[in-house]
Amino acid sequence: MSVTVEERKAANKALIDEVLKAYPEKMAKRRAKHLGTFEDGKPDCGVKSNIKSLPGVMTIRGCAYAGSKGVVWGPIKDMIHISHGPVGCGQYSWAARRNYYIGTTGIDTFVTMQFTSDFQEKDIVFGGDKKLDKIIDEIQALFPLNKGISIQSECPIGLIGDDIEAVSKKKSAQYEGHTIVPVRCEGFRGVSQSLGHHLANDAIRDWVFDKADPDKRPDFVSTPYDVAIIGDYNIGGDAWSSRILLEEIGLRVIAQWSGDGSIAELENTPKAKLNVLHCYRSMNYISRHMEEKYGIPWVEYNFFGPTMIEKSLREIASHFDDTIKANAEKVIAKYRPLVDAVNAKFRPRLQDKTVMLFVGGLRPRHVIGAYEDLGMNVVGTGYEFGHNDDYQRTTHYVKDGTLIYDDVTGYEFEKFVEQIQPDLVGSGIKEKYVFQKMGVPFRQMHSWDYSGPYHGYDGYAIFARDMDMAISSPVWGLAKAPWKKNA
Amino acid sequence: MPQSADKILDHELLFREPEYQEIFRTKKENFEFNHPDEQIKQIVEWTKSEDYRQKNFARDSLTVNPAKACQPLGAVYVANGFHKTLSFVHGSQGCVAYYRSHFSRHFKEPTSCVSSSMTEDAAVFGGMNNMIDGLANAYNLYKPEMIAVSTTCMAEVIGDDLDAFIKNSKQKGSVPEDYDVPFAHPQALLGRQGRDYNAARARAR
Repeated sequence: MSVTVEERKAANKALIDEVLKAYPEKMAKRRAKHLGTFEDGKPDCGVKSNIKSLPGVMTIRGCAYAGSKGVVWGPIKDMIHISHGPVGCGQYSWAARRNYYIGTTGIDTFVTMQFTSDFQEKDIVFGGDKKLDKIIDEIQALFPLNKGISIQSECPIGLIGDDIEAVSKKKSAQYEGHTIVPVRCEGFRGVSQSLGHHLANDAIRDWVFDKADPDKRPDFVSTPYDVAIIGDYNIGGDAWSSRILLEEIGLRVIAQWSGDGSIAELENTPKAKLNVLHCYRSMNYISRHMEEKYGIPWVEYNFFGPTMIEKSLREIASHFDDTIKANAEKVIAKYRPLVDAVNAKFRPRLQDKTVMLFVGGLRPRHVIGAYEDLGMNVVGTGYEFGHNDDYQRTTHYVKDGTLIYDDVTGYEFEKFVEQIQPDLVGSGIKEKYVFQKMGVPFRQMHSWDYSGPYHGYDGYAIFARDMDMAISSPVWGLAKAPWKKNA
Repeated sequence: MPQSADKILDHELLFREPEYQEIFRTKKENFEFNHPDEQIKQIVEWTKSEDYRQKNFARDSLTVNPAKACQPLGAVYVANGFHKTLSFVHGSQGCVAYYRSHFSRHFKEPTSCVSSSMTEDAAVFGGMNNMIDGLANAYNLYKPEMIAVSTTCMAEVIGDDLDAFIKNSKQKGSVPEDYDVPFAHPQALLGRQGRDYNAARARAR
């Protein structure tokens, strides 16, 4: 029994109205602006975004510290990132994100370690600058191979008036120009992780780019095929399964921002010929800056699923010469048998299955192509911290009648899934067990549920396997107690 | 080709394949500008030495890989042990996201908790409205039998008074007058003194 688009739109509207009844009236009016159904032909999804969450509704969002330390700076492997403030923030974000890297941890790389100033009451009262000064000395003594230090501010830093910029400048001079970056990513800033990304990008601009010596590495020789991968955090190895394709078409990937990224790569990125941007939301800021200041063009690309990969490889190749363009065609042809084999294996079981997504700032639209390559339909999607330009871009991915929910609350998401009964929900760890206990198959779309990579052709095979594994698992048929069946 | 549909390799084995090992080699050689391997080996050895040990034990400011978290996590943990009790954390919403993730990863269970979502303006003007609206929303949406309130750093440093805010919220009708809303200031010391000290420091600057 298939539902027409008009029927679905009407059902969505009724569902939204029903869900809003639970809120106090004033709050219902505000939430109503974030919920809607996509209408084909409209320039955006018709929902408000990137504004304050309502108090007490169980928003899924995080804070600016998460966006800065967790997303942008944390993956930079040869720098030490100090969680400056009380111990909690650093603790909960300690090795929680699967931004993979290669190195000798504790010696030349530090990603999976937790460095904090462990603020106590006396630091709040008397200020933490002196402690920070000493911390930098201790880091230099114990971790001499670190290539830089970043100071990721937590809430109290901005509230007590500490001057981390002064400490950074002083210590950097003391250690002969060692890169020390203060980042004002206090959690209370902004409305979500998003401002944290922006602050982090600005800190790279101000304290890495502007202070870098352009002749520092004379042995770095540019080529006309140099590109930088911007906005890929190497979750489960995503950046590597992307890099391999770009290099197969003949490009030279000189930097990865920031999964498995080193500070040298960041410093050399202004020498790139083209910046290829995957996560638009978190790194459009630095891409725009590099275009403005260094004249480097940037292009958004999508390596989720063969349709998008092909489109992206051709788009990227179009910025280079005929050799690269021809190579792109060769690579696409080379991987076609793999794609066909994956589709033949998994599409039969996944055809026409429905999916509801809720992820961060890119994947709610970006993965839709991969699902459609497997014959699946995304019937609902939304962003934790997307802006209006993300919702505009989403119109090119979602079908007419798709349910759209911005900054969805725990209550709303549960009610939507209960009513719509998708075959799969894709969201985060906080949602996983809620929906699995409701009997709905679930895959984490932040951490890839400890799987991955999902980018590129190699990643598509893994993605297909995982979606099939989740939906086709015989366990769902066993969720109902035997005495409740056939009642 | 490292990948095939018959034998799908994921991150555990995929990157051991020669094609990937090659790109790792060229990335390291050409773009990372790391310290020489010899020097890295040397430092590895040094970390096993007495000198390193002394320096490590002499640390008094830097904390590395601690085995503890922050106080509001404990408050949320306690609240989760009470039947139909929702924990409500007054302050930044990032904290609640972290507590919920932390517990969900550990127990592999859903973890409910709400935040009053204070932002920059609340940092300046105080979070009373966040408390009033937050309690009303949480009460209506989730219908708990009790709401246990605690605070994050932000609310503590600016000196929000939970007792007063909860009383105001009840007056405004967020929750019924006789409804249980127990609360705890995780860093009670800061509640009063913090504000005065900060004001004094600000004046001194």
